Amino acid sequence: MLTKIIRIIAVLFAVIAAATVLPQLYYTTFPPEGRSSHKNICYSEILGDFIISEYIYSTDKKQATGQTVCYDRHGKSYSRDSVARLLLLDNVSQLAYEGRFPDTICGIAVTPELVSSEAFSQYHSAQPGLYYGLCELRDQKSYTTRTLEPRDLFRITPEGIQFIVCATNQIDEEKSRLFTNCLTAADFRFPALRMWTSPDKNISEAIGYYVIDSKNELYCLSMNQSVPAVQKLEKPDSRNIRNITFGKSPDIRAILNTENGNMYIQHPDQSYTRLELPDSLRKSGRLTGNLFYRIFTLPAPNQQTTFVFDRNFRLVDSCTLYFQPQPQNTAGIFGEFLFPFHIGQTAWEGFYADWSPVKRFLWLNLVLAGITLFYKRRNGYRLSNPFVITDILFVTIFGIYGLMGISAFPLKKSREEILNSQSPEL
Amino acid sequence: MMKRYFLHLFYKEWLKTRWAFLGTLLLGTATILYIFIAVENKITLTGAKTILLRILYDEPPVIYYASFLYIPLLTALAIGIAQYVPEVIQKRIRLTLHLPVKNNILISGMAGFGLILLTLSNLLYIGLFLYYNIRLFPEELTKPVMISLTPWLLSSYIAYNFIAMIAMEPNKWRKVIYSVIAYYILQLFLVGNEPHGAFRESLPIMTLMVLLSSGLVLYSSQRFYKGEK
Repeated sequence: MLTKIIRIIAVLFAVIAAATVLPQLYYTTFPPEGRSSHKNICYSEILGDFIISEYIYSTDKKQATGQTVCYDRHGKSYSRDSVARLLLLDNVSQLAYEGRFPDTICGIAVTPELVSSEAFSQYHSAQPGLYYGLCELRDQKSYTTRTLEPRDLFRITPEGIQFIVCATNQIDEEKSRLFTNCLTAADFRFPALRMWTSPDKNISEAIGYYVIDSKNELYCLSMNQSVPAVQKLEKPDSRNIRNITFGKSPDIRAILNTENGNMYIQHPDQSYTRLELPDSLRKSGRLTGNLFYRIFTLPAPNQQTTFVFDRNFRLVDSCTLYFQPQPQNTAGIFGEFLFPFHIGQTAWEGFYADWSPVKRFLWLNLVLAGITLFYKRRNGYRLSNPFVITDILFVTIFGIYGLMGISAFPLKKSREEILNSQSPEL
Repeated sequence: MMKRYFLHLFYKEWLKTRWAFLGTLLLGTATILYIFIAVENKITLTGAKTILLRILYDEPPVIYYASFLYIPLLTALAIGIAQYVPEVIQKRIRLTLHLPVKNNILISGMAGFGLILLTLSNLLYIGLFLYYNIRLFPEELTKPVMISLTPWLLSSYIAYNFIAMIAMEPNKWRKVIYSVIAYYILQLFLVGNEPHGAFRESLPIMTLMVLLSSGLVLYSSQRFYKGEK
């Protein structure tokens, strides 16, 4: 009995191994998806409307080429040349090189240098990234002299802030006490739940860190000539802050996401503007900016929505691009029949099982279960044996993986089954 | 009486495995010492803070302990091969299986001894690694690094259990099949090149797989004892 139970475990190991490797091998050899078109969207300051460019592959599958078509939301087509003149802010370098860059755009005197200096792009995530709780606090004046370059990293524990000298791995007690007293005086409640700073060294030095204390209050912690500077900041609303990204543009100090999905822009004067973004699309996205607009692009399954705001973050326009799901080729469809699921593993979410549509793989599974049943009966296995039923169930649920598993670890017949199969000779 | 049986059994197993165990322990210890000598060397060259920030935040991550990836697996391979392969090739296992003790208990005793040795070596590795890591780095790095090492340590148990099963299997073609299964199961454990603390969510399932794999040797030993092909 124990051996039979262990056999079931061995079959499950075989199923896991097969589900990990077979789909990988198959889809590497036979890629499952055909080609689909690519779409991109830009906002024209000249038209006051969106222009969509789409790369469409040739219908001849042997040809790897295609062509780009451009059109606006009303379906009017534009040539590549006319698109460049409608998207001046996105084509500065090309137009300047060709000597076609205008002196004014929408009545404002411009130069290529001015337009380029106003352009920026950054990614904002609604979820916080990797965090170890150990950070570097740079002095605001560290660029002036090497003596102000810190040789420590800090953490904020329940006991207070601790600066760890990296060379000795020991705590700098004096500096830690100084900063702890300063934080306590500002009503900071230890420990810190989370800290953020800008990846840009200059901004990180100037602003320091935004820190959430144990009461979910927001503070700004920085250091000026080795003296701590702690400032309690107003939160944008009563909700807890989920993530903060520091801005790359002078008019954006930070972008904050609160736990109910609201997104706020914090200005240099520390006031907030809430962005008019619909609930369902408050996900990680890209923020790009130019001389006139701030453009948020938020992806979602099979679609992407672009929101255009003016420099005061008032919503100007929005447009949703829908993407056709990539067409499946024969290999992809056959793979869904063959493989009920695929087991994988990600670094931060652990193991997962990606199931194919049930209506696809169920038929093959039932056929394989029928074959297993036929084989068992023909070879004298009794169907009342619970382990035989288990084998058939494995094949029904796990399909080809189950069949491979029970074949790799064959079920030993019981004494009665052996005797029954030998009885004609007796 | 049973206690005496096990002591004798463990002594027999120790005589078979001592050099493999001590050899891989030496290799593992040398690898850990090498890791930290290399880290201290880099600290001397570029500064402790630079190294620590690079280890924490570089993309791709700096996995300074990458050399340790296959050490637990090698330990398991050495112990498993030293313990089972001579027994099966020279057919000495038949004598063991004819002792007046239940076969499952005997085989479990053999496997248990191997797992104890493996646990001992893993504990020594962890202890030595922690000793040096705590000296050099704060706990904010030590804890995620230990999480990253755990799948590698768990892989040694999977490898040992499968080696025991493969060695005891009487049919050579099934040995090949079991080896292929073991290879792909181990791929799930021997993960690296991700930031420290990754695969934390996988640890419960990995631990369950390790516990479930501990009985696999009994399946093959039963087939061996019955002379099944």
